[in-house]
Amino acid sequence: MKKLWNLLISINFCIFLIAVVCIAMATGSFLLKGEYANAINSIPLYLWLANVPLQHSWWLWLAISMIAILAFATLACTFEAIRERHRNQSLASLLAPQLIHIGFLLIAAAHLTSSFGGSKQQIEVIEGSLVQLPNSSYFRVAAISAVFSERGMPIGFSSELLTEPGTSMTRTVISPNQPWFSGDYGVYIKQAVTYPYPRALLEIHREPGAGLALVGAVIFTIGNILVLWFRSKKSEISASK
Amino acid sequence: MSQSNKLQTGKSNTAVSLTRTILAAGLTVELIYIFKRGISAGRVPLLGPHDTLMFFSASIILMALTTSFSPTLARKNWFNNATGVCAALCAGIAFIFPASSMQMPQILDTLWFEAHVALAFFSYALFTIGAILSLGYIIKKERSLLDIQFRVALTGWSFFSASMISGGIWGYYAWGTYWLWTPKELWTSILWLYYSLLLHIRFKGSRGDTLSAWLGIAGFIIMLFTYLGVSLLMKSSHSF
Repeated sequence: MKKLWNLLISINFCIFLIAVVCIAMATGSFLLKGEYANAINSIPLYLWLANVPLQHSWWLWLAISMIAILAFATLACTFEAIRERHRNQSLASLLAPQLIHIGFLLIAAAHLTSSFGGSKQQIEVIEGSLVQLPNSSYFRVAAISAVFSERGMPIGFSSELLTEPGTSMTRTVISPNQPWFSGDYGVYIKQAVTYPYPRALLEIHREPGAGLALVGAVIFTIGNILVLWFRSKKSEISASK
Repeated sequence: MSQSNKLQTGKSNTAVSLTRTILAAGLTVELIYIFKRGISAGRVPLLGPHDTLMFFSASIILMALTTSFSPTLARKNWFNNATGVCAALCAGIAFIFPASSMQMPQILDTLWFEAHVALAFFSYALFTIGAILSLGYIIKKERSLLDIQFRVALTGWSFFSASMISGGIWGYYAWGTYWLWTPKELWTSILWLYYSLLLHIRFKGSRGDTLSAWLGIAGFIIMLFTYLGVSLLMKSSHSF
């Protein structure tokens, strides 16, 4: 047990894991092509991993396994650092790098959550379409508009939705970067045309890891800013010496 | 201090001031050019290889000027020269590519996108400076250069992390997900993990110095591939 612990907190082991993840992902970037590349962003990751032949997905299995071990190693290192240094270091300077570690772990957990519970669905709608979301809320497409450049390139589109968050109907305009959220679900407009009649391609997304990823990102950023601040203090002290 | 030493120090200070002034002048010219490009395109000029290479060049000078005031580099003219050559090369290569007159697509028209790109190039610039300092360490064997390389890499990694976070937020609002499995995202993660690895090498103490310096140089190559290689050669969410 002691040997396993020492391995987990060893810097060489941490470097080895990161290096393997990098190599696996680099290989994957060249292997990820064709229908498997299209499918990986359309279905939950666990379904992709379960259905794609190992010869096309081994790199991702390897990367995920290494990241899982890295997560344990990060936890072990965080625990060890606090145990070893809590007497000699101020609490803030001790916790700063640990906040980065915690942020990283939360973002990894967010990916895991999304890979199991995420979903994406495309629907084509026309003005007047009534759409029900999987969480039973619904909306009606009131209007669809699209603007094209002189060359015929789409430069802007939007859709007005009539939503029913409670009892009274609410008008909401969605456009690229401005989705409409109902509980866990987001409604995104992907494309719209007005000829021969107005119609739009909508996507309904569920990304259950998003909240956790945001919390992780905030904690990570706080830790990162603190680390930079303590580093600059250290440099000032060594420069004045 | 002997008279000849004083004379030499004086000459070296003048040379450093001169190269810094040239760098500052170059930065001013580039910023004016970027501003004019923004006015003529009617958008933030951060689309396509021409605009981004120019922004990258300006970022290198900005970060180099800031770094050059650290006590270790204050009298090292080679540092100003090397960063100046890198910035000039980037600006030169920018003109190989045509300046895009494309309107800003609606999906990119958000502050999260602008923050994502600007922060990424600040980090790329710092990784470039880190590689120059690494090369300096390998040639001159001055450990203080490696100390600055570490600080530069840490700051670059922090900018890069912030860029990834703002990119994730933008992606969530634009695409419905904060993450896509495409070569660009994979190489972005590789670059982030790679610099995490480089920063952890520091814990090995002086045993890891040479390794750290070589990794700093290799990091620059990985960064270039992530930025230009993936966008130009691979089908990705960030293709030019």
